[in-house]
Amino acid sequence: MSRTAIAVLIMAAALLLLALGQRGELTPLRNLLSTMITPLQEGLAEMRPTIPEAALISPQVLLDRNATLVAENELLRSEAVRLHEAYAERDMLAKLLDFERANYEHTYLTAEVIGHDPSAFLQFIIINRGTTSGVQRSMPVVTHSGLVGVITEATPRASKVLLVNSAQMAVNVRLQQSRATGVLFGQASSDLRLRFVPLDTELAAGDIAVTSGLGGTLPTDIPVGEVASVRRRAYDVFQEAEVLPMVDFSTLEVVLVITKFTPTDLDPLLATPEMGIP
Amino acid sequence: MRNLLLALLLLPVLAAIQSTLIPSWGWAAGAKPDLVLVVVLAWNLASPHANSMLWALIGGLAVDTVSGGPMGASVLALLAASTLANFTSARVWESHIFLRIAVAVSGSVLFYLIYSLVLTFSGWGTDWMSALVSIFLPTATLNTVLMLALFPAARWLADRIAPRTMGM
Repeated sequence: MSRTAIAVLIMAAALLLLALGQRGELTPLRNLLSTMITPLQEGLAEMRPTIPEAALISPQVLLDRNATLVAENELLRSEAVRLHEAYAERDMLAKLLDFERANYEHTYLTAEVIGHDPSAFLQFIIINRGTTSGVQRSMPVVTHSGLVGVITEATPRASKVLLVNSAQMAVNVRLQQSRATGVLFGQASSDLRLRFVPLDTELAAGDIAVTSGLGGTLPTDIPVGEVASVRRRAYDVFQEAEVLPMVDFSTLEVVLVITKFTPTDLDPLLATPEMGIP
Repeated sequence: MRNLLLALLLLPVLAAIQSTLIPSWGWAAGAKPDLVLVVVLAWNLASPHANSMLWALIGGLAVDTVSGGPMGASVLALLAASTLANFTSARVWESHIFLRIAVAVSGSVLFYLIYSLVLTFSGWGTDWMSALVSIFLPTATLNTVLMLALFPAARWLADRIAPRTMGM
């Protein structure tokens, strides 16, 4: 077979894959290929130079216990941030008093990072928990430092997490000090950019951005990033800020998947005829 | 046949290494060498047979499996890059070092260009300016260095598995 014929065949196969992927019909193929490659990734992930001393001197029981303690520590630190938010909320304006917040009861699942996206254009990690562990698409993933990303694809034994700093990611956030809301966008440079913050808001470096919960896809009050610099121009409608992620994505080893949370209930804020709002 | 068998054995392992070990070696944000791309380019340069182009299919499928991107995107991008290497090598007998550098740079740029286009047309946003500075240029440079390091091994293997034939 000639080169041209092979090239045409491969191109046809690639376009077919892309078309089927767009229609969401490649899940069985992805699952099959993932089932073959995931054991390889798990084996290679063990070879990474992560905490080598502990790996050499600690028995398996201690490693398991350490993983559990790390997970609990992350949970507690996350709770501390949420408490800080709760104190700040007490001082908010009276209109928020009518809005009863849901009592969150997040359920966490510990997962190990077994891979990163091989493409430099995409910021994904691969974790060793999949649908057999209850992981589903759109579940948030966090660490003690803050939001890592969301599950975009789950196979039986592994899942792909789209990182917060991905160019394909946008997160509704609120700033802890200024109380302003905005949208954090990932960039190809792996930093974050805060947009849609009104010009009259006092933005300053050091302000912490936490999830606002708008949209209902993420829990509230998870730290996402810290404002590094602000760009404010008088002729713009909004100001922008460069934000550094709270999580160091290059050193991720263990993450928590939030398998259950109560999304922000926006219904009480929506105007309805019964409420007598014109 | 041995050519394809080697691809089936080697490329999934390289894709797994690319997603596990390479990111853990502390590269600057966004820039890390693309092992599968470089190996496919090196093989097509060392062994410019028609069958060698199937490495693009196998390597692309392996990469797309461990990637969050659309299935087929890497296949298409690798096909373009490997076609460039294959056709170039088939027409230039001596694989001079400048040819390897040229193929590594142009193959990388072609790969990332097509991959970005597929991402864009598949509904994934791509920040082109930022991608050019933080991904295209540094990664193409790293790929070139990796190509120079890996090509001798690729040629050694190719001479034993699928030696190139001289056309008159």
